[in-house]
Amino acid sequence: MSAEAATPSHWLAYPLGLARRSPTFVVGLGIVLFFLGLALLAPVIAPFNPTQSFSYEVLQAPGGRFFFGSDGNGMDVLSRVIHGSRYAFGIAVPAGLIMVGIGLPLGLLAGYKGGWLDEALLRTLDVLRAFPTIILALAVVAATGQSLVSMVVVIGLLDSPIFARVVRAEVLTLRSSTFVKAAIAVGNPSWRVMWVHILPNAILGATAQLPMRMAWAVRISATLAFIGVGIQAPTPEWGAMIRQGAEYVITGEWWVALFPGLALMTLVLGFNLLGDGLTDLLDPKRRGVGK
Amino acid sequence: MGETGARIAKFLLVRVAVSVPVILGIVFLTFMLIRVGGQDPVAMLAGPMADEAMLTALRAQLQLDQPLLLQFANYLFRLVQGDLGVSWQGGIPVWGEILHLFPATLELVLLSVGLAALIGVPIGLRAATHPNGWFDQLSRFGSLAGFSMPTYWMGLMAILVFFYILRWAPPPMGRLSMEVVAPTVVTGSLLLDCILAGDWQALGSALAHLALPVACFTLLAAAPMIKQSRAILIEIMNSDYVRYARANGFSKATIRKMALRNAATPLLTFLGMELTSLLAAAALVEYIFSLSGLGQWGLNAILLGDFAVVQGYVLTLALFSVFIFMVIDLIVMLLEPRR
Amino acid sequence: MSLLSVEDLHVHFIARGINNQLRTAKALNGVSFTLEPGQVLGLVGETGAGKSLTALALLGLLRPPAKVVAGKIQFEGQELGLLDQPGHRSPRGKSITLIPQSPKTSLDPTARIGDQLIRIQREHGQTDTAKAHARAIEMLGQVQIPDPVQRMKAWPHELSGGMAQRVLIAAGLINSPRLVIADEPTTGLDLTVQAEVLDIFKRLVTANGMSAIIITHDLGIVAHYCDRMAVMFAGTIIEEGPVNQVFGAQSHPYTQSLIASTPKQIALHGFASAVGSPPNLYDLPSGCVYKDRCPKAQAVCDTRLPTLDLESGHRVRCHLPNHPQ
Repeated sequence: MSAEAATPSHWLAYPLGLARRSPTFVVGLGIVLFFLGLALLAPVIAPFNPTQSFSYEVLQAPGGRFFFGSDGNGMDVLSRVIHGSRYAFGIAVPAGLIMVGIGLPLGLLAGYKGGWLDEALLRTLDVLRAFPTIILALAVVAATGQSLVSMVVVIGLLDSPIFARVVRAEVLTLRSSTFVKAAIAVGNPSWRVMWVHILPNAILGATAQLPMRMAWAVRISATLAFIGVGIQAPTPEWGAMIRQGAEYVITGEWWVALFPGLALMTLVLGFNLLGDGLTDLLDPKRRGVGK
Repeated sequence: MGETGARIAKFLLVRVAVSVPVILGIVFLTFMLIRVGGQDPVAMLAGPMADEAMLTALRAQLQLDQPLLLQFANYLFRLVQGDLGVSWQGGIPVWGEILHLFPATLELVLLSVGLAALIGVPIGLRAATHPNGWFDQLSRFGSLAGFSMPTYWMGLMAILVFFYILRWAPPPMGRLSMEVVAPTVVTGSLLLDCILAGDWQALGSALAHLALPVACFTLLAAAPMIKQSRAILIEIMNSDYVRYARANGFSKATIRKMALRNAATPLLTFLGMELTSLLAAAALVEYIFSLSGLGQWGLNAILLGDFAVVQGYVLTLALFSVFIFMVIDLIVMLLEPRR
Repeated sequence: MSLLSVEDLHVHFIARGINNQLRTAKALNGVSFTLEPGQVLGLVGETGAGKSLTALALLGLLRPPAKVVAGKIQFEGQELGLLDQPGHRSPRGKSITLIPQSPKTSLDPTARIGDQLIRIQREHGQTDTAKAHARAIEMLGQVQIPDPVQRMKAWPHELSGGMAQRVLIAAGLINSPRLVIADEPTTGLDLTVQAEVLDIFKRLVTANGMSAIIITHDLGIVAHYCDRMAVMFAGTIIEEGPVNQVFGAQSHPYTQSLIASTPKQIALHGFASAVGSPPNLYDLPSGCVYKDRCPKAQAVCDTRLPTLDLESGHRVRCHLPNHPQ
């Protein structure tokens, strides 16, 4: 391949170019990294211990000692929000790993081999379509009652078929592409075609889904916590915090529910932007109408 | 017309036949899931004073000590006779309560989805015609924000702003203000009943109470509408037949009409899917605004382990989904005689 | 005056790479040719040579990221707008029509064949629906579709590939254009069907005194159905002339390699190895665009690219005739 355009001299040019090309990606990445930072540094940057309750300073408005105010148990909202990001990532990341661990091979096989595996996958997706959150609540409650681990596992499991479907779609497209056909024609065995030719490209195509799924994981775990499933009382998880805050909205103590919700929304938005931006960058056709 | 009638009949027959196993599967899955779980409803029902003997007796009375499959068979047997069991909270028959509460949920969902479609679809379509323009970027961002916002939180914030601060909305308790008398129940849908009874005061109150939940729910529902209608139209505009139409020198108006005609089917199918998934999401909204709808009841039942109610709720959702998909597919089939 | 005159057309594609750098692909580099009334021109070249792009330019369908850097097109004495501009009434669809590739997907899936044929006429001024209807049936008959009256009510997905292609031919000729552009009209068709379709096409074009441009990579089609041919490579026409002339006295090494790759020649002379890969439009060499692949390249090929007029309308862009090896 002949030379590309001249390498830019300024080291900042690449990221800046990236930013202009897809601002959504950069903003999304920034948000996610910010919260990741919060999660990792929580014990260091949070002003108070998130479960430490100051019984005489219950429901203080923001300002003064408690920057985000204090909640009904006298705990500092800011510290709880910061620690909440640990829970968010602590749920989303393992769930994401489970999803990829199951969904990727599943989608690969279903797309490449077809047959009964493919049919089974599609039927499962059909059934899943019929009920969203409800069955999730059921499954979590059913498994081990109030447990964080079971929530993670269930979310990961439920995400897998959806991810598998995306992978499967990529594999199907690739399978009928010329270069794969050539690879088969030249005599590569099935497993090699899958491993060397299809897998890397399928992963590339499915990568954009990953942040979207993680956004969903964060959202759904918070929703479950809000309903009262999976997370116990003093745990500083955003959904649980909003649940507590719900009681106080009517009486005007807005800060208990507002801040965790804001954090939740921002992080989910960040993941969504990241996924959207990734799709933009990786798939030129998404840029809209044009020849 | 006879030929079309025959096609419709055949379609319905096939569809019903195919749906039965799916519904059965869902009912079975639900049944097993809640029983296999770690909850023990007997302990909850009997109360803290019960001893072991009472618990065992209660369990036998409720047939919870029998093998699971036998329990399921019993349930099915009663199901086909129209008996959905009773709620363990007060012994209310499930079937009757569903009939009572479902129209309320339907009211909320239909209003919101209708509004969301009216707002979201045109926005998505417009965004597709000027891709990457300012309108497109803005609407994409708005759609993503809608996706990201947790409904319940938005509801809470809305209550905060519009009720607590501005005093515009009524308190989020129930569907009517305390002093207003409800009209006679005819359809179960409060709005319709008010109109039928000519009770304008009640109608006003009902609308006021619905305003906030509908607004939140509409915003939630509009996000995917915007995204999907945009995607559908973009794909159509990039298609071979639109390219050919341009090559033939068709006017922009003609091409737009052609594109919309082609977009109708995928859009309709998508709307159907959204309707069914939003029906389940309605539970949360009802919960926050205390709208006493089916979703709220079902949600509580799940948390409390009220088996019959949970099964009834899931069954209703599943039946509704199947029904909606059937209607949509029927319309599609009549619009476009393919396959 | 020629019916069609393309002069020195340069079209570039401006794209942004992943790091937002501007990259320019020079897709058309000085394309020039003329077409007289009643002539059939065959436009040949490998994939990516610029054949379809030329057709788009002729139809005025170029959109960003394509950019017209230089050149113009004159049709019937009038200059054509090359870019797809809203409200700009170009002759496309009326005087210049396209018969596209992939016939089955080019038809509107939600409209019957008859309605689409009528629509094409109405878009260009025909207000009498009855006349449009009759004309549609007439055209269907001319492309030898059996039972045309019934076929008018057919949906696109009910047609076979060959039938759909014939419907597109009917659609392309229904407004009696002066110039018809057939873009790879035989893609996806069986060999026997290919011949039928092309026979019908050629017959109708000749009978109505129309000009045509057939875009193809199949030299057999060019030899059989075209009067003139133009060979494209890397956005440039490297050889052009009457079909017999070009086939007989092939002057450009690329043309020679194309002809050497046809089955008959392979049967006679064995495989001729083709050297190199497709040209990189983002980084074209100076001088002759073909020199990296040319077995007869010389020092002079690094300089400019000439246009030599051989005899009787046969032109070639190569130094060889003046610098024989």
